[in-house]
Amino acid sequence: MNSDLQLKNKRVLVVDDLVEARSAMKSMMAMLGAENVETARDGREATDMIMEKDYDLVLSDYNLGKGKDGQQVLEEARHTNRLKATSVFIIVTGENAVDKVMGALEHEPDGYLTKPYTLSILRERLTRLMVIKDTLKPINQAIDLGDIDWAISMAHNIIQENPAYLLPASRILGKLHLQRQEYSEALEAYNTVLEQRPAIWARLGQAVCVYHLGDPDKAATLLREILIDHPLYVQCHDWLARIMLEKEKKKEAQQELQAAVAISPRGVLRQIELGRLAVENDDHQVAQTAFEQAMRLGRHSCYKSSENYMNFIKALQHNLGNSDGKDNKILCSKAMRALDEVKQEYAGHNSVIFDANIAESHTYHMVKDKQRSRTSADKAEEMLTRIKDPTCEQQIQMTEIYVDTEQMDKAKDMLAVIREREVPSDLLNRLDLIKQQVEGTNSSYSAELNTRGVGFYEKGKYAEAIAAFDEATKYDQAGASVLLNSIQAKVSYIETQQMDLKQLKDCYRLFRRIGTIGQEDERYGRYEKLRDSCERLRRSAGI
Amino acid sequence: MDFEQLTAAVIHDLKNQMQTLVTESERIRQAVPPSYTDSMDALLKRTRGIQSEISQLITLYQMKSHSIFTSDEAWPQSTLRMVTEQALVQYPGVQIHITEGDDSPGFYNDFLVQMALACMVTNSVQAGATEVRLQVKTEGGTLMFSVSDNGPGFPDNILAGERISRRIGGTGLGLYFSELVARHHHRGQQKGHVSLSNNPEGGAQVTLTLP
Repeated sequence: MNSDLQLKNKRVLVVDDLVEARSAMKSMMAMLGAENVETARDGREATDMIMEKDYDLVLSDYNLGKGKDGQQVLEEARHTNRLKATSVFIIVTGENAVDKVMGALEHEPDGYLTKPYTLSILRERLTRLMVIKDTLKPINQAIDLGDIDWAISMAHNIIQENPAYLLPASRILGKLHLQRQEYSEALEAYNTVLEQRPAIWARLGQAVCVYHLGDPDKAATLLREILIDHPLYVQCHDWLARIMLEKEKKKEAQQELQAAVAISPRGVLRQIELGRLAVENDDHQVAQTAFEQAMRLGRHSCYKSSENYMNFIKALQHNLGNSDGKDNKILCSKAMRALDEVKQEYAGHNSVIFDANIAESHTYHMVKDKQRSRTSADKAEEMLTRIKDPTCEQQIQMTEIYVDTEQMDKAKDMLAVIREREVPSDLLNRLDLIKQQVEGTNSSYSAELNTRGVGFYEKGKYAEAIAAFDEATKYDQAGASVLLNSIQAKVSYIETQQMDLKQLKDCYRLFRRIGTIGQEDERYGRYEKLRDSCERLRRSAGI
Repeated sequence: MDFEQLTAAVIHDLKNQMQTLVTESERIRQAVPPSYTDSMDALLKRTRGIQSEISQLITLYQMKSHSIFTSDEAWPQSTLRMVTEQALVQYPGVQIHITEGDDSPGFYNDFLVQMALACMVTNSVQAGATEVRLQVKTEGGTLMFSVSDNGPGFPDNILAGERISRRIGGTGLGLYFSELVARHHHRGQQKGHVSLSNNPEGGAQVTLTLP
């Protein structure tokens, strides 16, 4: 068999975080005749190297310490098309950890190598995989060229000429047909395999075809049967989730995805999907964990997105609201760490930073840290001025934060701005809620100002009283009593201090706002008296 | 951490150290002058012996704790070659032959099947065989691995179904282990099994059938 293994001119990449394992593999590869072997210490380094150079053979350990693992290296390499279909990718795993790796991957490796391995095991395995790859080369070359028709016909040729390659060739054949949504053809390929061997991927393929051919119930049954035999075959859970979702069984779908992430927690996309589904199911605990994982895993991958961070914060805020307080501190600091990270990672993206500041302010508001909440609100406000055409949602977010931080004037102004534009229907509820809050808080705030004004007035501090009443009467809802109080303060000020035409004019403006007060109204006497005083002051001023 | 977990952790660590030891020894064997090769082979033989027993121990432990051993594409001829190679190192005086056959891949857990076959070879050698023949046949979708030898054959009590033999020098659990491995492989309702017989011309034959 040794003669079959031609590694001399192959560009080989060995990836392992442990130095002994790395050098052991490297020296074994040298013994097998490879002259061009490079090594990488972690997932990031491996990905960088794959992005830069074409490798014919990659041997990557599954576990690469912190950061990306072998699965992620493979997924990125295939996802970005940096690894040709003709090159061989082998995942090396600790003994039987292969069970956890297998079936978790959308992009599967060409093969697995289980530790511990000896030189001859390595030689045997490599020879097999390279011979297969070589035999299937016409198919893979066609795939690399994007000629799927040709690839399919090559696959049929190979199966016909060399029945020993039925499994590997059918595996590609099935996938190609699935890609082109030719489900009957794909099903035929999988069924042919299953007549010969109980290959698990063929069983999955069969179920997927049955689903697409319009029998989701039978597909679900098939998937559950596979899971009995291979409980770690994660993709079955993914498909079951999809089927459940289609049947509007969102809770069951969530359970399937939870089962999937329990087996294979490293798939970013699956975590994101679980998070979204959990939000729909109002299960914010699960959502929080899922988005937290997505955020953490995405950090080193091509699936990194600020949305993961913000979704995490949103879910966390739900839990902050529901928790009895003792976890609040932990949750809050978790939120702040995530927000710091997002600000750092997305510096210069004004909208992202704006969202982060809004979230920060809201989180502080929820734990009743008024001061910090206000500081973050100010940062958000500043950021909003830098956004060229703020969206309606951003303006609504800002308004909500103004309400949180009791900046009612600004909230009102922002509402006026929003009134000028068309509000998307999904935001109307939020907008209504703000309006209620603004109005509700206004009347109580205005009442508070009124009380304050009365306090000043009673102590003879008329100037201060005027300021408080002026503030209170700014609100449209300010009632006649408040308006009369304001007039009275102004009148007393002019009478005791000095003539002030502006204040006097204000009094008339306030009378106009009050309109007429009937004789039966208990405030009628006071109203008449103040009117007389004003008239007197006007005459004495000579107007 | 309870005792069982502690034991598992220690064995796992042993396994890793054995791997380093074997790799290093193989490297040294290539590097030393030919006059030392024999001594290195003797060393390697023992080392590999320990390594395979540790693997067996771990596997038994995992099977007991309901771990899952997933099947994958595997090549029966490769499986036989690996078993032979390992056996030749462990039992240099024994002749081991493979009867070549169909080279298409099967779908089974290579690791488990190799271990089961290695157990069978060990049993043969310990029973006094000097020649062992490995073969694989396919019938439809069924794979049949067989190990036959020129030893004394099975005693009646074993053929009658008794499994724990008191043979000196081995764990005597080989057949039990092989049956566990066989039963682990199934296809629908069909389960794998092990059958024992004595050859008409003498010697024992064990067949591991995978559906």
